[in-house]
Amino acid sequence: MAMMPKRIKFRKSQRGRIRGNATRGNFVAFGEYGLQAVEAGWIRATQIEAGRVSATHHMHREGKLWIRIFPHKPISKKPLEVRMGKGKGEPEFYVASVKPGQVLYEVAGVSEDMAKETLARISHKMPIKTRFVTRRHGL
Amino acid sequence: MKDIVTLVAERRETIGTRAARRVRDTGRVPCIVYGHKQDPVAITVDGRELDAAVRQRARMLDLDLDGKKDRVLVADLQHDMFNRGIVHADFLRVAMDEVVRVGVPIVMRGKAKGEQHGGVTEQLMAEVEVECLPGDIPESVTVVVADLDLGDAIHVSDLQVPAGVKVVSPGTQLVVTVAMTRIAATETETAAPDAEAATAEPEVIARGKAEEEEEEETK
Repeated sequence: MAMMPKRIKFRKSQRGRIRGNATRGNFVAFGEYGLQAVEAGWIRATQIEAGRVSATHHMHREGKLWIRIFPHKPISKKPLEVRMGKGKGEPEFYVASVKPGQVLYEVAGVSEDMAKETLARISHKMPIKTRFVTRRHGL
Repeated sequence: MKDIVTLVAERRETIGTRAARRVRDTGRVPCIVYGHKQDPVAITVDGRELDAAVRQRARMLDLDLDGKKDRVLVADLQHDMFNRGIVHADFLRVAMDEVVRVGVPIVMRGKAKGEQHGGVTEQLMAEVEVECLPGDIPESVTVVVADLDLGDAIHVSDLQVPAGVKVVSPGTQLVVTVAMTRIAATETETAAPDAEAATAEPEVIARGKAEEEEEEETK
């Protein structure tokens, strides 16, 4: 099931702008290899889940996978064939608002080749450009 | 001990984000030198030279500032998140007969026995803090994990460090563990979602609602 917040303060949110680069969550912190966003964008909860499923399937349930993003932002939509006005639409789905540099997924416990293949599969599910990154050891 | 690289440093009069950015545009890296109860000095060094020294895993450097040489330890490095080089460096003045406290990377060697039984080796600690003379700083601390079975762990107290090096991190901290993969957990996750859960909406925190009701009542 796609991720969504358990409790929220407001049911609907404004769209907002994604400016600047990620200043937090921008390095591989848990696993050995990671998938880093190169562009800004919204990643839907369903896309995050699709990435997770493809990764666990490809890794044959070996190794470990971390998802570093969470869809906090509700996106509302008006129903089809409804005239403009009459207020904002109802929340339809949730997205993670991602800035360039954000690490989206991390893997560990698999070889580098396997990690590259797995993260490439995830990247195909993502609506933004991503790149493969490895953990920095030492300084 | 490795040969110590000498970097020519220049004093930096301007500080702040924009000034630092301008320095980086010229191919130099803004840095700071501190320690030995002297005032911190803002400096710049050549980006390529610093990068080359870091690639050789040099922890000690000689800084040539105004014709005076200072022996320094690379205390911290900030890297660009898109791998476009070093953004900033911290240098700590040291004397070769003075004990320093530094973080040393932990490197895993071998494949754990427990991996054949469905386990996954997890390295929970990337760096261990040690105290030693600047000349004795090890490049890394190696952990051999080949004998680890499912559920086994290596703690900081089990780490083998060279003579003259003292581990400062708490001995009870976990370094490496062989954990069971989350097969059971993923099976429940991939099971078909029940209809109720699929349509569930997050709970709206009631504070806002209660306030609105109060406002309506007062009207």
